[in-house]
Amino acid sequence: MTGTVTAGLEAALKLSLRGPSGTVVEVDAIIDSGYTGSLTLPDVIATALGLTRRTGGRAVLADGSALLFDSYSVEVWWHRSWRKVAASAFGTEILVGMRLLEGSEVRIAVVASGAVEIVPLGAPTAPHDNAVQPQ
Amino acid sequence: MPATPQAVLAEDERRAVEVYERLVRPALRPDDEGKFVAIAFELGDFEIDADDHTATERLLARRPGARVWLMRTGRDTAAYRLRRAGAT
Repeated sequence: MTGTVTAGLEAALKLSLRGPSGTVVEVDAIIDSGYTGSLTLPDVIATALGLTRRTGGRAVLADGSALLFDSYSVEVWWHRSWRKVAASAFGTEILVGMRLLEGSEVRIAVVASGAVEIVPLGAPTAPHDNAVQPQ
Repeated sequence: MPATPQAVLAEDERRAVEVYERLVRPALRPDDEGKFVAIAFELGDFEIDADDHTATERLLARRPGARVWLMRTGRDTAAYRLRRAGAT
């Protein structure tokens, strides 16, 4: 997986998400090491993918306040295969959290337009697999 | 699918916490610390797994259509932590 550091110094990448009927959407996501889940999704994306609600849950924010959310199962194209993850529906951004990043090495050149690479732990080089998807 | 109203989510959580305290916590083993627990709070059933998606889907496979709440075992039972206030 590859991406780019934004002018605001956020590590951004494009993700392909797939719903249960096979609908695929490409979305802009931000890496957030402060989020312990896999993925956050705005409700509008969950609707566009035709996701069905699986569970509810609580997230605790840095100030101690809580956020209650619906959670969905969604497939994300990740390290050359579709991976099913739990996606929490809140906010307006798509965040990639530490649970999705588990087992990966994240390399970020922290400068505007710097390179972002996410590779499986132990991989010698970054496979540029964003554009390669199964039929 | 429209978002569930916050009041409904709060009631779901209240019922799930009751089941957690009554059924889940007494059944926890030391190596369950920090794992995810999916609770079908209307049915008094639950699944524990290190992976959130696995716990949820295993429970729903056994209890199709159940209303489920996701928690985490340990001192803080919130499913996740989130430090990025701008996402909310």
